[in-house]
Amino acid sequence: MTTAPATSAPAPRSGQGSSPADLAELRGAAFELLGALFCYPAPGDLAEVVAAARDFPSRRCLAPEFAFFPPLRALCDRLLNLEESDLGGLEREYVTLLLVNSSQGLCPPYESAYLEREGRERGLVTIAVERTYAASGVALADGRELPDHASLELGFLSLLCDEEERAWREGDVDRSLDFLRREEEFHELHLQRWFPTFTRRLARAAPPGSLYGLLAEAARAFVVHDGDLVRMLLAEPPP
Amino acid sequence: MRPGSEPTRVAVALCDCLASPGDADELTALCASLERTLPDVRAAVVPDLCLYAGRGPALAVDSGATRLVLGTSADGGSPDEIQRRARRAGLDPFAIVLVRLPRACVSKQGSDGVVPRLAAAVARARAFAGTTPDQLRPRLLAEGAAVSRFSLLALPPITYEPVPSVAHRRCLGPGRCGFCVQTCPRSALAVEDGRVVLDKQRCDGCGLCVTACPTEAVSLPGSSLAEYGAQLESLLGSDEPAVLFHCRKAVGLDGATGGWLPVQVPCIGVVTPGWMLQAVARGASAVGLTRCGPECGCPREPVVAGRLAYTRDLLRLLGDEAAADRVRTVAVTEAGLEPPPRLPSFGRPDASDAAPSLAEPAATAEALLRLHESDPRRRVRLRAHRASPLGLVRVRASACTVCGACAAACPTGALRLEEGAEDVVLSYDATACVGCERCAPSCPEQAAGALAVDRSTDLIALARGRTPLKLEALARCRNCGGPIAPSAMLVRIQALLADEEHAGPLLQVLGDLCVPCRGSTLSAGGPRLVEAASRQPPPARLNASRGELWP
Repeated sequence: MTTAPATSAPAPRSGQGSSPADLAELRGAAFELLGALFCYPAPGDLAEVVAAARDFPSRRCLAPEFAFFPPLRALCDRLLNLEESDLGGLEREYVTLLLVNSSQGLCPPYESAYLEREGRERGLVTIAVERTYAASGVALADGRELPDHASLELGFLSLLCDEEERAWREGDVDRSLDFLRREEEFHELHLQRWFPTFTRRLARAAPPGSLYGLLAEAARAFVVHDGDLVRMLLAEPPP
Repeated sequence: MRPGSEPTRVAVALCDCLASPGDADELTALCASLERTLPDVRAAVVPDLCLYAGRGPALAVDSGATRLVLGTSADGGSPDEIQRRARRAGLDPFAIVLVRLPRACVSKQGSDGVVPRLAAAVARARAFAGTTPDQLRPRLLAEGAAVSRFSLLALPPITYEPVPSVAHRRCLGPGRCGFCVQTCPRSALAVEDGRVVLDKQRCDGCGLCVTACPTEAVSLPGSSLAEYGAQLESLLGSDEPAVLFHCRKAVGLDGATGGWLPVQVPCIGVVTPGWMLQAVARGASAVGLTRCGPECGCPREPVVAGRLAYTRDLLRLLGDEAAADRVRTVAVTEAGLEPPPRLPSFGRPDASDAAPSLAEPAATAEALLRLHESDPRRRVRLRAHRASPLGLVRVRASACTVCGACAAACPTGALRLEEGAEDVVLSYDATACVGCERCAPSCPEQAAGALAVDRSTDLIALARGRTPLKLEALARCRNCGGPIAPSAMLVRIQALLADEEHAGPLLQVLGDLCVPCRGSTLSAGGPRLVEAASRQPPPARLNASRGELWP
């Protein structure tokens, strides 16, 4: 039993510097990081992801106040401990968990595998996702992945958050709210309908303590939280 | 704590304002006493904790604890601010149990009720199982909410409210159960694609769905049955305690509880008869319920009144003449809470290490059987009561064909059909029956009075446990020896079709052959049978409720 020191200072300022634009920036960065991690772990890309993870928790003082932060911090910590020699293991894990028979495998990272009848690829779901991208002026740069791949859907939300941030910073509230509505629509029509199931499966299938297990936990916590957050922000728009 | 498991470390932070002026040592001694008597607890007096709530989570993190009990005065630390500080410190805010105590309540003259309340809070915190992303709803703090003034300089701070989640693997689904959907006063739970889903925006976290679920598939962080069970078990370890369940929105509770040991619940509607009976059966001298404030507009008032009446009626039947005083609502007046009645306990403390089960209907059944132990031959039967969490199914053996439709419809497994090598048994366990009445409309022999159900409580039936209602021999296929159906069912079909023209060949097929053999015989080898059968009414219409008899 101890008596806590009476001299401890008041708690640090919370919410310091936070604004709707900061929030959008934070969300955009998180979507970008998570989206990049669902891509195949190529050596060059991985270095960028690790750099983003190094930057993520320290720069954004807002993040610890959100419920999604603990699993995201655990993921970033794991990323920072990655070494070159781990790449081979990561590739194997990625192939086993996310690529082998991707349409019938354990946890296919495609929306159509969960929502399309019989998990058909390039079906109506894939087309609907691509049309949503096009409606926001986004076109796929290359054909490496189908439009409904997890990394692309998260990347799309990252782009919308970036646009929203820019609009907030320019003081254009209507445009900001328009992007928020697009984010909400994409959450409701696409991401929330399959991503939690996918990440739950991935978390169960991944070996204990593996990067993809941590990624699944962090991505699920963040995406579920973001769907609720966007809905709340539209119900009570920031001043 | 369960035997063999390591206790989760809990930190207890007490504000120094709880000590009487000049009696600071008493608070330090109280911390030492908590550390001595409770396993893996780190307790400390924290100066000005009521003003700087962030010191509590910091203490927990420093001492390696993942659970925290904060003892503050009634106006110390806003829950939203505590939550933000906890998140910043890396602690799950719902792992914090806030105990509001009167200022200067610890002195040389004593600390009435403080130690049991803190010990119970530790037990509750320890039983917390964590939070999942689905169980949180973010909310922007309203303007003027009690948060740090620094926070108001920027974006309105975000806080989180707990909402329930449904474990679909355990959920029986709306087809068989749906109690949570029916119970929700805000229609926040709905059915989509055959699954129960929650609209977080509608939910106010009242927790009624948690106690309504018969399979414990619904969970609400900070308000699970395990947490309440652990808290209650700890409180009931006191000498003849008076337990008070109070709504989180109850007004006028300023930390002084006037001899009651409080358990805060999200809505008083979560307190079922089983909770009250478990407390009485385990030695509580009284059980009080304090409702929410007038601004709440709680839709559960009639339900609470009904549950109180039911609990008292049962206690009276069991011989408790003070039942009306023992189990009651407790008003908050200007002078504070009404004091508990001075009554001897009607039940007795539990010598085992087990926390009371609070899941209905087992909670009510277990508590009643415990109270009944002293006079087990006494016939205790309460006629149908709308507030009873228990039901009673009666089966008339002469009319029942043991078809099993009732068992298939039963959401809790109270009615069960078990097929043996030679016979089939329909059994019933009254302690698992919730009186939902799903079985009655599913019974094809309902017109013959084969099955009746109501919300009666019969201790003899409860004491019997699982009992066979009817055992029936299985008719066997003459061709392959496989099971056809219970004999009583075939007899009943024969009786139904006896007057039908040309029924003979069809009845012969039904009584002699199982489903697979019937199909092959009709299609391959028996043109005469096919001809005869084709003249009969279509099987689907004849036997719609017993599709298993037909190919």
